[in-house]
Amino acid sequence: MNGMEKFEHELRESFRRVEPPQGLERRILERAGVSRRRGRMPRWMAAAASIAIAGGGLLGVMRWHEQQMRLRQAEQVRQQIALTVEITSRTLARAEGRLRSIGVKQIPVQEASWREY
Amino acid sequence: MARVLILVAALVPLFGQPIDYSLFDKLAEKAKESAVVNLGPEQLTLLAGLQPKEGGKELAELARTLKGIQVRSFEFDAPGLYDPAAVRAFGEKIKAGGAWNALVSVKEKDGFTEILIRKGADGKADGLLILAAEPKELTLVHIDGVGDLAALARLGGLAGIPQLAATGAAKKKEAPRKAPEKQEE
Repeated sequence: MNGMEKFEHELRESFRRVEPPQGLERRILERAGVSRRRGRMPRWMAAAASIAIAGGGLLGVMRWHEQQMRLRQAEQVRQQIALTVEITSRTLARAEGRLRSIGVKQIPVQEASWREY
Repeated sequence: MARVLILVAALVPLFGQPIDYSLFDKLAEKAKESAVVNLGPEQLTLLAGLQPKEGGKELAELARTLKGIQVRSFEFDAPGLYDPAAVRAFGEKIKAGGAWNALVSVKEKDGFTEILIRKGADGKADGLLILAAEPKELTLVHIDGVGDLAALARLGGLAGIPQLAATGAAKKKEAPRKAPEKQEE
């Protein structure tokens, strides 16, 4: 066998199909499957997380909306109290004017106020 | 003893009777201008939500003692659009209950003004009612839970509430004093 033939023989040997060890394919697939599972969140967990995030966001928006509504209502109450004070003031001023015209200097409303706040 | 208990039981509802504003509510349609305030404890608790920096704290503090505010104020185009006698009877009925006493009563030929206070079970004033009737104007202010105009006056300027101008109540700084009721006519 000359050098050329020897080279050809070695080349052929190198390209000769070698059967893989038994069970190699299964082992490779198993490993691939395990690693894929390790890297991914289970679907139910992902769904639960999505629901939790969406729920939290919705709750936040609802709370904000509720707070805004309460502030608006409080503002309406404040305006009504302002109106009450205005009307009370006007009415008392008239009554005071009438009393003055008959010689009474001041409505003794303070004398009703023996309650300190 | 049993008779006394029955009498007391019969009188208790008179003291706790709520005021019926229907007489005034009917007049709203006839009025040229009207202002109606209906605030109950539920609405007043909302004041706790006001910002403290805007005077909301003081307002919320007062709101804790306030049980309700009712205002009916009407201005009419002409005299005779309401019955002053019915309004007077309304005031008399309230006084007849025994819980309310007239602090001021001003009577004129064409109208009257009455300031009534109610004493609570502890003897402290816990209600204020102002009734003013003029030929073309009618006003009812009922503040439940506070018998102290000075407390309202202190709110003047807070949270945009106007000053309570009349009667010197806004000027009140001295210690409150107890005095017998006065009736001036």
